[in-house]
Amino acid sequence: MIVNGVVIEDTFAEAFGMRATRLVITADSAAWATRAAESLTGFATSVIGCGCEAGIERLVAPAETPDGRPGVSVLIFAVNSAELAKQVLARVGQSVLTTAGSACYSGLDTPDTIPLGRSLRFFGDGFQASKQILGRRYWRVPVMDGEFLVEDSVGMVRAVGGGNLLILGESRAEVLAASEHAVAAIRRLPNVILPFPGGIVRSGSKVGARYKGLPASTNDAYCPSLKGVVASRLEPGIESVLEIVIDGLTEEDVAAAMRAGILALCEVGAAGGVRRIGAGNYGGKLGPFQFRLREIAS
Amino acid sequence: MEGWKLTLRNRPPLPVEVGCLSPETLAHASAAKLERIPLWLGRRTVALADLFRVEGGPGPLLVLAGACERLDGIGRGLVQGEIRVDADAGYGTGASQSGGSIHITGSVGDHAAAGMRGGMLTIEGGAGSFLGGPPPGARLGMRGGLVIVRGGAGPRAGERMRRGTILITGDAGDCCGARMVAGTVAVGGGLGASPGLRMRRGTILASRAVQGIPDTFVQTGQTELTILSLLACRLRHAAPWLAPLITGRPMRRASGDLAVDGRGEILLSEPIA
Repeated sequence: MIVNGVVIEDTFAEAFGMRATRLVITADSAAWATRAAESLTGFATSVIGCGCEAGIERLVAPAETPDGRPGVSVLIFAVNSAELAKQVLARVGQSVLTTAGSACYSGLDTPDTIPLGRSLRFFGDGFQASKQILGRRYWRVPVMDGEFLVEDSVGMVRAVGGGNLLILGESRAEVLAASEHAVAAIRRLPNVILPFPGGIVRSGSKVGARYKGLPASTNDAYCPSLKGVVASRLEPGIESVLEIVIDGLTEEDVAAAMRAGILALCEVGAAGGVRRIGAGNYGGKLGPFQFRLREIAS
Repeated sequence: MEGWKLTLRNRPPLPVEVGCLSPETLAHASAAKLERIPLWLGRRTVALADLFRVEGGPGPLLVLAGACERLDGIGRGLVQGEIRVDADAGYGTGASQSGGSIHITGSVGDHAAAGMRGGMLTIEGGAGSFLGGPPPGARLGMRGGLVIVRGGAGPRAGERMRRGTILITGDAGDCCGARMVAGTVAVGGGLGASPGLRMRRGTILASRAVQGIPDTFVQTGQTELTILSLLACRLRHAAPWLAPLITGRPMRRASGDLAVDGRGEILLSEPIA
């Protein structure tokens, strides 16, 4: 399948079941809410080394937030509910509680929940107070600039992590520009995040390594500098590969994001240096979700 | 919405206990059976048809009309469905309600929402004393739910309440939130004498305290509290007069009652006398 000179490989992205939550962080200004969100989602690129994958979903207008202040919604993904609860508690405790004027609410209304405020409240050392409003419980924790307000628990859903696109092209600059274009298109969609810096990862990995105890190592088949040395997947003329990793709340959300990315890359086309769009998988043996590029693109 | 409509033929000579009438209990009743339901009129019982004209059929709505100010216990223990009263209502309206909604177009007597546990009670007029307080003999008042009063409330609104929210657009009488254990009472107007007397926890929010606050409260300054923005946002449809709080308007805060647990608070938008 060739669109605008770009080959869309007959392959699929293999993704995994995860647990996810959405937090809405508010503050006195969008800038301060963003600072809290950026701190919370920092060092959360991959569950392999960070415990979770997280990212900013979007800015939330005051009219949409629970307390009428500017806000930011973030999505956090982990491999299971226990790890998700651990990561959310640690990150909100260290990054949101500490941010001036911030408050933190659940952004999902689901039957399954993980504790948040009910654990963080102990920071109040006995001076914390709960407030139940229309069936939802919040905790007011005294802090030096007033009170930190946090919801007792936050919703949790089954989600999908690891949707991906490989962008193969003629030069580093062209592939980066095309990837940025695709990231911008994907970021317009709800319910998905791109957990890597700028939404792009350059160090795609394969499972295992030559070294004992290393769970993942460089995806040598896609490294241009190893062409001819290993069983390379790169034909002559391809000098750079970048990957976009997508986590979404549902399979449909990930598929929609991948489609938006593919369309954006095809828009750039061969004229923009994009030769081929591929995807990472493990032969379909590990992940229960398979996103076939050609089906998504058509 | 389908349901029964019961219209009082005349103003009853004595209070009538109607706590047994709810959309749920009348869901499977025929008109003939409904008309035979015995109701206490003072110390004797009379058939419902002796007092009411019956119209409609089973459904999630029950409408009471006519001179209802002597109907006691309207919506007592309501679990689901809706009751609408197109008039004033009597004593104990919405007492022990745990779900559903009650809408009173007029005013209500004493002990409305006594021991309420859930659901919503809307009173377009005013409320008598002990709004959301404990039912007679009970240790705790309201334990959940939402009460909206568009007018004012009598003395001891929120007495011993444990949880839930009371929104009073007008003024509240003396001893508002007295012996409160937790929960929220928001008053658009002023508070009477001794607000929050012996309150342990919870929040009383008002424009002003006409006669000041008890000496056993300590003023903790003028604070911007995010909880007030949250409260105003979440209750914006029930209490539009809370809207100024969304912008984080500072409120004067007093903490108490230090004679007891002392973890309650009174928040006032005007200076504390």
